[in-house]
Amino acid sequence: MVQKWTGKSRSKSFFHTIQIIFIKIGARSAAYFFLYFIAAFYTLLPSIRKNSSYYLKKRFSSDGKLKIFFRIYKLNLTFGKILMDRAVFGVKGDIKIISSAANKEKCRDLYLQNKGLIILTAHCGSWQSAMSAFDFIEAEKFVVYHRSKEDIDKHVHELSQKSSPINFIDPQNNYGGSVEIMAALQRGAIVCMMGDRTFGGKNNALLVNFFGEKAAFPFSIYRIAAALKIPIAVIFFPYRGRGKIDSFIADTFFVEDKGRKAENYFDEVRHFALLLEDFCMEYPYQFYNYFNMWEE
Amino acid sequence: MIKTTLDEVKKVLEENLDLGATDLTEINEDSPLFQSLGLDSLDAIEIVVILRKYYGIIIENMEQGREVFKTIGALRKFIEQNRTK
Repeated sequence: MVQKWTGKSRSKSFFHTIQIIFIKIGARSAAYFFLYFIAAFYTLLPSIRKNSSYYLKKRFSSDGKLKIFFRIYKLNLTFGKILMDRAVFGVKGDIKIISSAANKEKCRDLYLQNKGLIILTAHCGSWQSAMSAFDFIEAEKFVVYHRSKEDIDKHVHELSQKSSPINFIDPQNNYGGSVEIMAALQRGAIVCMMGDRTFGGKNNALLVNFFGEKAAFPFSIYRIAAALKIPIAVIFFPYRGRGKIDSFIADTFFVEDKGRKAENYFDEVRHFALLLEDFCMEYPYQFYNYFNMWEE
Repeated sequence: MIKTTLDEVKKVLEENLDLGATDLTEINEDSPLFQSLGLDSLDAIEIVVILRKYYGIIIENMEQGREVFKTIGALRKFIEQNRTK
């Protein structure tokens, strides 16, 4: 199973620029209105339809082509709204993260147990905006994220032109970013990783059931957590309408050190896939892993 | 400083990594760590774990890791200079 995700952005600079102009002149509603046409434009592109349909065909396995077509539109529209809110957040600082005091307390307690925390999430909901606003624990924060040269979407801090509260670790750098991740965790940092995308080829992938068929998920996250005795908090950040992001902790756990073999971490990988499946059942248009993770 | 030999480092790596058919007798101080032993990013995790578990060494930044992982000799020297057990 080799990574097939290309890293290409789903948006093009022309539309992106127009959106930013609308936001800057205060015409946010116009920007949202314009989005319906942009989403339609993208839905008509064969490459976008293909990349969007891998997941939707599994999530809505009984649907015919026409229904899937409209679902692709809805997926792209929701994704557009999330990107729009991210841009608004960056330009105007206007966003509301819904996070209960109990959730924050839970994260703080976990972090303090061994001074370090892995936030495990996926390419779903408004994870990028939410991570940029993750400020209730005093610690260095990193997001493991590969940004391709073709990706024109800007991060929140780039739009706001303020210094970033988070640092990035590129999983395509030396040693798949693993040494950098472990160094950060050993310094007591919080590291956010994507549990739904493998980098570095088949060695970092385990095949587990996801929507009824085997899909590739990374296992090295659990090996790192086990070796360093760092807790994992699985957190998802669903988009809840204009300017609102929810955050809920799907689970928290420590991983027992079971050595280096990938298959020893099958249960943890499968558990994460189940949590992600639950998320996709509740928010079917908020999973944005635009590649065929089921491909053998 | 606790003296650390190349043979000792090779033995620990052999016990903890899957080195396949690598002939360790041909590995010397100047052998590139990753290329000569056929290691990948997952093995990098294990080397960080080995440093912590066997020698009480914590790698705290990437620059340090980059230097240490260049050759087996660099790794040996780093262990020798920083080990606490």
